[in-house]
Amino acid sequence: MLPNASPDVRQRVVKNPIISVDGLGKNFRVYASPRELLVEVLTGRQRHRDFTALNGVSFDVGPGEVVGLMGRNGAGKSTLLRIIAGTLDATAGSVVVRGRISAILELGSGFHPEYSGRDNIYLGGLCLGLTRAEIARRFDEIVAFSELEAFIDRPFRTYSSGMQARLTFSVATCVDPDVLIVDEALSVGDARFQLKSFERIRDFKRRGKSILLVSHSINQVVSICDRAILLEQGKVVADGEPNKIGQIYHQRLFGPPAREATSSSAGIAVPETSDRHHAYGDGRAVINDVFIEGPDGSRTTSIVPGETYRIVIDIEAKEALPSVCVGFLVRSSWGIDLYGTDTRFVPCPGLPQTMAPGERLRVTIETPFNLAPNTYFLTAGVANLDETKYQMRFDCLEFQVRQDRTTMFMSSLVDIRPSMAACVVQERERA
Amino acid sequence: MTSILTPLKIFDASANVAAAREFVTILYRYQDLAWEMTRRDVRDRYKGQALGSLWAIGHPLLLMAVYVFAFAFLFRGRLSPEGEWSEYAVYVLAGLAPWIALQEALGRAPTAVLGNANLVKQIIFPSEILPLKVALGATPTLIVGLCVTVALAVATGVGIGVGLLLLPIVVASQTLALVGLVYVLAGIGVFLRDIKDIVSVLLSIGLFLHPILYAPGTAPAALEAAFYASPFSYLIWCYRDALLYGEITRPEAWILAPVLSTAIFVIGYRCFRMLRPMFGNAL
Repeated sequence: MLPNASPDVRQRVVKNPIISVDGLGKNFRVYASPRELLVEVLTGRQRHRDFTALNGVSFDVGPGEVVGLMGRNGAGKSTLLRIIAGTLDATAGSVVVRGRISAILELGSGFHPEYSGRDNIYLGGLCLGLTRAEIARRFDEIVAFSELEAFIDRPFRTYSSGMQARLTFSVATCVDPDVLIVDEALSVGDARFQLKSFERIRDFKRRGKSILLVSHSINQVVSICDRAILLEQGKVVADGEPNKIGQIYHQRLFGPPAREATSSSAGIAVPETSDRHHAYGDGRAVINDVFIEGPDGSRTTSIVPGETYRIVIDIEAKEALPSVCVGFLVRSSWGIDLYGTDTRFVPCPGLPQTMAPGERLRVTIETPFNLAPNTYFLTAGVANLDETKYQMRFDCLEFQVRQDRTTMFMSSLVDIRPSMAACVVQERERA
Repeated sequence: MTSILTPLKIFDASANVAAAREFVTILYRYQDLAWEMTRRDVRDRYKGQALGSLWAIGHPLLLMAVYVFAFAFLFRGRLSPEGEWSEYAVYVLAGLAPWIALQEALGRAPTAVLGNANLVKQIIFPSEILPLKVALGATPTLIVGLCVTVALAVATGVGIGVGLLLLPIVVASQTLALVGLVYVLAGIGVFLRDIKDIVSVLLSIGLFLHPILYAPGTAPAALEAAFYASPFSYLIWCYRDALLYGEITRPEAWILAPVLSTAIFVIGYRCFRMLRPMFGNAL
């Protein structure tokens, strides 16, 4: 991990990189009609417009690194993956990949819809450079991993999208590549298969392979990647710790780009209790304070589950607000969303419809915090009902959940407070 | 920007040898894939049709029957005034059988890569295999045609001789030429979809611009001269020597056919290789 997790477009230094991308640029030539292409080839005179998909993209990926690519649709993620995979040429810069690449660039791609799953495993494996004998040796393992034993002789087109994803992933990973490239394919399988895929990805990582994946799910990137790269309009805008990059991505998705300058500096009066704190918004309203009140009414960041606590969010309108929506989110130290809601979903008596400039509002949320002992982060936000954020303060409050004695596994995230019972079953007498 | 065709120096011997070696390397590495795809290509072409793979034999058979009937019986073509119809039929078939195979491969060539956009675009796929399978996919047609020719020659007493031993050389030459031509057309077809229609028209005309249907000396002088411009004419003359005359009647054809075919193959492959990095942009 980086000691300083601040997002940075400076290139990270990676030792013995498996993938080196250097100054990569990609222009697509756009022709008004196919005739223009013919004219250009024959006369040598330029007849196209250039569309820049990637511009000066540089990064290295080391062995055992799992890197998530984030960015909006059209940011250049897929173009970048295709160039690294070698199915598209670059206009500028270079890509060096040391080792065998396997890629899942689109669901079921390269698979013939009319052929059976069995035939497709063979064809897919041959495309990846295996021989028939090698595929035959791995065939059972591929089928077992995809859990498609019962369907393997049916045509591929009859598979559900989840089943197609399972077969694609199984084939792509069976070749034991040095670099695995996955474009959104993991989001289709069911939860059980996703877990299995993540396990396989972790296994790859342990064996020093590099994985590059595209996902729109910030949670997914945060939970399986060591590092995230945010692309915007063909450029790397941030490269670093996934949680941080995820926040920036979230901000870019929902924050107003024109008034971005007001983010972070918008009148934050409270001392930041968490160094992961990160704020953005258009600043029409600001969150002046966020704290947790214990059962005795005093501020605390140390929670004993079972007692009743109150989260307090103090808001001040800087301009006239057409509508008000207040929400909060509890995240684990990994950055996984554990719980979040806002006043659209939970009734909040006393919440005004609109607010005048200078008006202040205090929102209190009562909760017993049924969480496992660990460190958590609280995110608070105030927004317009049209989803534009007045202010979002990510991970603005760090708090600990304590427990004196161990009542659950250390890996638990929540405390569901079970009660257990047992009774010994008498063995029936044999006749 | 200069025309994209300039970097291809066709007489650069070392580049040609390097390209050929690269092709052999790829073929060796993906031999299983090439074989599997060719096999499926032939098998699946008539999939879903009632008579299935029978069409692989039936289609060339019917075409040849129509041409032989039209030219040997309706137009009463003969090799010499007192010649047998069967002699003329074998003469025509020796040129027609390879032509039908060529027609089949070249007709499908422009879409060889274009029609498999999902393979080329979405996975790490050796796109060299796609034109190859189209070219090799015409081999069954060629074999059927040659078998029919030989069968007719034997059945009607025209006879077949030691010339048959030369046949492998001609078949190998034709296959090389086909592979090269399919590579060029498949590469261009990705960018210029019109090439499909251009090829289809040229193939229709081509039948009459080659020494296929004309008995010796019956073609107009201008056309006779034009025959020499096409590499495929030399191949046809070689086929005739092997299947009908049983001796080398045109030594120049036996030299030029393999040489030109090899040249077409290497240059065709190099054209394809040059265009290949740009496929991703057009598909």
